[in-house]
Amino acid sequence: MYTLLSGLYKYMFQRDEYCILILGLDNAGKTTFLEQTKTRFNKNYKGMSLSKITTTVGLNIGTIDVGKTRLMFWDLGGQEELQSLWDKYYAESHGVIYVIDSTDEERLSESKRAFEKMITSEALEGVPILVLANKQDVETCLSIPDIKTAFSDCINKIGKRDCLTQACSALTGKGVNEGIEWMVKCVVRNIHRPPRKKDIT
Amino acid sequence: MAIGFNVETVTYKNLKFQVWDLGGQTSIRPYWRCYYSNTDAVIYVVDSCDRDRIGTSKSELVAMLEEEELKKAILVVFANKQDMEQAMTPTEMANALGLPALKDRKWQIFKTSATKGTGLDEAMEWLVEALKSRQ
Ligand SMILES: Nc1nc2c(ncn2[C@@H]2O[C@H](COP(=O)(O)OP(=O)(O)O)[C@@H](O)[C@H]2O)c(=O)[nH]1
Ligand SMILES: Nc1nc2c(ncn2[C@@H]2O[C@H](COP(=O)(O)OP(=O)(O)O)[C@@H](O)[C@H]2O)c(=O)[nH]1
Ligand SMILES: [Mg+2]
Repeated sequence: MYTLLSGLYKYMFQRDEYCILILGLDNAGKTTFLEQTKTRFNKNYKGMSLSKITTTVGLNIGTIDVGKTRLMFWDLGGQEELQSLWDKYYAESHGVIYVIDSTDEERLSESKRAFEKMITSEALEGVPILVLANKQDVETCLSIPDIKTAFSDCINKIGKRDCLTQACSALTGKGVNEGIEWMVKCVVRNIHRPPRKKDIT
Repeated sequence: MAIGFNVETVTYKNLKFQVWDLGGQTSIRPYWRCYYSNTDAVIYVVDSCDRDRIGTSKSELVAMLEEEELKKAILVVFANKQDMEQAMTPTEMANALGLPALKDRKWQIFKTSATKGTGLDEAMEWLVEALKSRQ
């Protein structure tokens, strides 16, 4: 009886929670992506106007429920000095969303270096990575093949993990749902990082 | 310096802030907790030049944030006295205060100078938006 009841309780009031780290250079669109995601997946979320978003020197958080799965996002600052804080979150992350500004060809190699450092970190071994080629609403932006070429020498460092490059516009929402759904699928099937059990309140 | 505390009501962008300036001396710190209920945000002002006492600032902050009533409060850190050359950078400040360990709380650091008046507007604008967009 106890087992049945506690099983029922867990079914009704507990969610599998996965922590998703949002990384990328400053100005890539990380915070905009988080706000867009919260707005799309939370019916009651009023949201802030995307134009009021300012530089992150800290941590933004957000949670969404996709079916029985809960994602908790950590959106960190991307400025060079702040990148040293990224690895403090690696051990507890179930997935990483790496955001690239597709309109900023000049900083693409800088972004690649930060990406490389991140994927070669042991604390993130086997963790699925979603690469978002953001700002695809801008006509003159780099295409997915352009970006893949620029990141090509990272490919052999990605290791055994799920990795997808997705075209996206955090501003208009294009590609956001697809990216999130892919991430949900990957974190759920990654048995090496089991979820946290969270009571829903 | 505040001895005891000052209470002020400030209206900024249609949001009313009740501001408690709690003095920092050791003897009155236990009384801080009297003011925690209904707190939506904590603004923690730290002297960016005082590396000797940053450890104390950290333990006070950690203890404060453990209070149940502050569980949902947004944390804003004013890294103050940024007009001084030897001021700590935001990353140094974040590490010194142990902020990367806060995984369930929204936080942000602003470089401020209370004497020059810099950084304060930006921080308040940010806080207004942050309070409006709470989940
Ligand atoms: N055109 C366009 N601009 C974007 C997009 N995403 C973000 N931005 C803009 O890029 C700037 C930086 O965005 P922000 O979310 O603060 O980037 P973060 O530093 O990575 O958090 C802001 O001016 C955003 O409005 C996008 O998909 N398209
Ligand atoms: N250089 C500099 N000095 C400051 C700044 N803010 C406060 N001070 C000085 O620090 C001392 C303590 O300031 P006070 O506001 O009384 O600090 P409290 O004890 O935290 O309330 C005073 O001498 C102020 O003039 C600042 O931004 N820059
Ligand atoms: Mg940001």
